[in-house]
Amino acid sequence: MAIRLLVAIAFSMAGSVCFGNDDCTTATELQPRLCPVKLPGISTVRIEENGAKSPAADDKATDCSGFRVTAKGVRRFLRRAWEANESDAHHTLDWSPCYASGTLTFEDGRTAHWSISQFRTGSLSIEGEKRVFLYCPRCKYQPFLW
Amino acid sequence: MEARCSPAEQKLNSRFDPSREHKRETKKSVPDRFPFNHDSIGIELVGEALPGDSSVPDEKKVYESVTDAQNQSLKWLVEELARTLNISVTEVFRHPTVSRKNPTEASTATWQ
Repeated sequence: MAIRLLVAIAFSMAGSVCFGNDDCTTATELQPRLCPVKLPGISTVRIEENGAKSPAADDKATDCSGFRVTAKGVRRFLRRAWEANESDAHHTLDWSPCYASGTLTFEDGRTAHWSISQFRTGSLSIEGEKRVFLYCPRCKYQPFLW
Repeated sequence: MEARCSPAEQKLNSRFDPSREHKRETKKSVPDRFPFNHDSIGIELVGEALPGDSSVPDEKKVYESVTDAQNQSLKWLVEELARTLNISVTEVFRHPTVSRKNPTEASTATWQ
């Protein structure tokens, strides 16, 4: 069997880890271990970037204008998404050049920055806490389908 | 990119469905497909995606350049692995070449 080498740069940012939870899934070739994430209720969602294209995208033909989320859609994603170790997610999940981002306020008064990509990944940076990396394999609806 | 998929496959791959895409690729043998995680060796070069602020979406980040010292070490390691395992250096790929990753990842890595 031929063995191929794969060159990768480690994603060095800290990821949020969820250990010891019996409800977590088993990691596979295509998906990191996923654990339920319990978030407080959300009072407001503000969208700052929508249909945005990554500055890292190398294909000029890439068009992200079709990836547009709504405040309702952001809430739905955050309700349905699971938490993953960011490093594991980096190795198994696809990266999309198309994303949306913004801020939100929880009912307990805390604020957070959120981002969601077209490939059903996202992140949540809650003030004073570690960043949470999210993946929503169940989000097989618009605008995550095309 | 080898871009050897048939037009029908390319059409299927244009739709985001990692599970089905993986199943299609699983039916192929090396070297008719790119490596999977389970049949490749990953070499990690430590680098930061910038800006490092955790509130910045990943999609807005660009990886810093690989240093000369990292590239020297990478070249040595690839040559040693290629010799030990009897494989060609043409079988070494940047991560974004074989899967959908941030294109700036390892973009300045050199091993030949």
